[in-house]
Amino acid sequence: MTVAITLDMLAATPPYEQVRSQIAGHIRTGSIRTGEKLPVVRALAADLGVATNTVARAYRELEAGGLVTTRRRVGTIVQAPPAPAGPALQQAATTFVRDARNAGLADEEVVDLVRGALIDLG
Amino acid sequence: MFAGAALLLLLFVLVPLVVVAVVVGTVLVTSSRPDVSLSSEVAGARRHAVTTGALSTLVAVATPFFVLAAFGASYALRLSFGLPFRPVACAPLAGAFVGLVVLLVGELTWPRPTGASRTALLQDRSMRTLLDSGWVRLTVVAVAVATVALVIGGLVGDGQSITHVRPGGATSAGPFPGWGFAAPQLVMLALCLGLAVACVGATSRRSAVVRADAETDDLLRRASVARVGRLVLASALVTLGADLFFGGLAAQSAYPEGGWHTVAASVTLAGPLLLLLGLVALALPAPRLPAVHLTPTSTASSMPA
Repeated sequence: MTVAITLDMLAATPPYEQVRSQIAGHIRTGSIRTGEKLPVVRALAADLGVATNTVARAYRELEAGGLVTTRRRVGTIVQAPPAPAGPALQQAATTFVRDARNAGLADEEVVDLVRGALIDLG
Repeated sequence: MFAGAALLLLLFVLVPLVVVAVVVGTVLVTSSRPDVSLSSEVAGARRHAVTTGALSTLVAVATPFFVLAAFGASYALRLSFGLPFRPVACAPLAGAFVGLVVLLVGELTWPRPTGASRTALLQDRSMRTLLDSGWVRLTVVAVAVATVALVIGGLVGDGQSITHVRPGGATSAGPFPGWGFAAPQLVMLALCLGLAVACVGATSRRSAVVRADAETDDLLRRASVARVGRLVLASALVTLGADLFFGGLAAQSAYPEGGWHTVAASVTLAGPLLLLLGLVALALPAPRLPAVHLTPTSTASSMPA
């Protein structure tokens, strides 16, 4: 597992949500596979220079979403997503993001576009 | 008598240490990788680690001499009052202990990520992965051998001497690493081990170096563990070597002939060799970043977005 997450401390999105959404994204795209172990809370918090509560909350949210499970003495393990995105859907997402970036949209704007579409579709 | 032994010990320690330090220093300087080829964060982290490591080695070497100077000068006076000679026997381990304190402070003050944008690799790391290294294995073996030797010395010895009871009388000789020396040395060894574990734990928990790839960060952590292992290994070997040397001399006096005399003579010879090995271990460099590695540009681009 060599994927990374990046925090923007100046962004409006809370740091825990940035951690949660990026790890969730990596799990859903298969960058982090089922059964892999996430870093311990203290280590990831130290690497990001944030409070341990920030990462702990992100992990709790991921667990509530069914993406990870935390076991005592084992750590936080990635679970299979409840509704896995198939290869075709992943390809469509990749194509969409690429097209949006080519159109000059920033990543936040791409996410806003998806959120807008979700709202439109109810 | 002690002045001569202390001079002998100083020569045993100082001369090989200076020779090895000069050789290793020359190799390091000629093969050193300039900071300019590293990102500023990696270079800063490396400077922090190297500075802390050098300082820890310096205090680990200097402390025994301070102990020798403080207690050794008045050894004869102290012996005449029946005071134990334990502080000097624990000097190498005391040096390692102080050096480990410096390393622990270095780990706890490791550069933390700053700035608005922060990146972390999602990699699981633990003490267990860090302990899987040659330095740690060598240290464990050396500490185990030293512990066994100290226990044997304690069982065979008679406090701070060894006594050979014969039909015609008894011969006693010292200093010998009986419980009088072995017990405080075992306590110091245990303290050093505890501090070493704390250091490795701090190394595993410290923040990753900003803009360093997984390989570089892992190498910096392994180098820190090597510095910890180096201190414990060197102090264990030096203590063991000194104990075998002086214990062997005492045993030769107590057993002037026969098989035990041969064993004692062999042990006496093994002592300086182990002591020299300990000094060599202290001078060996920790794992270093390869001379040709990632440039700052490629380091940055190798990070996933």
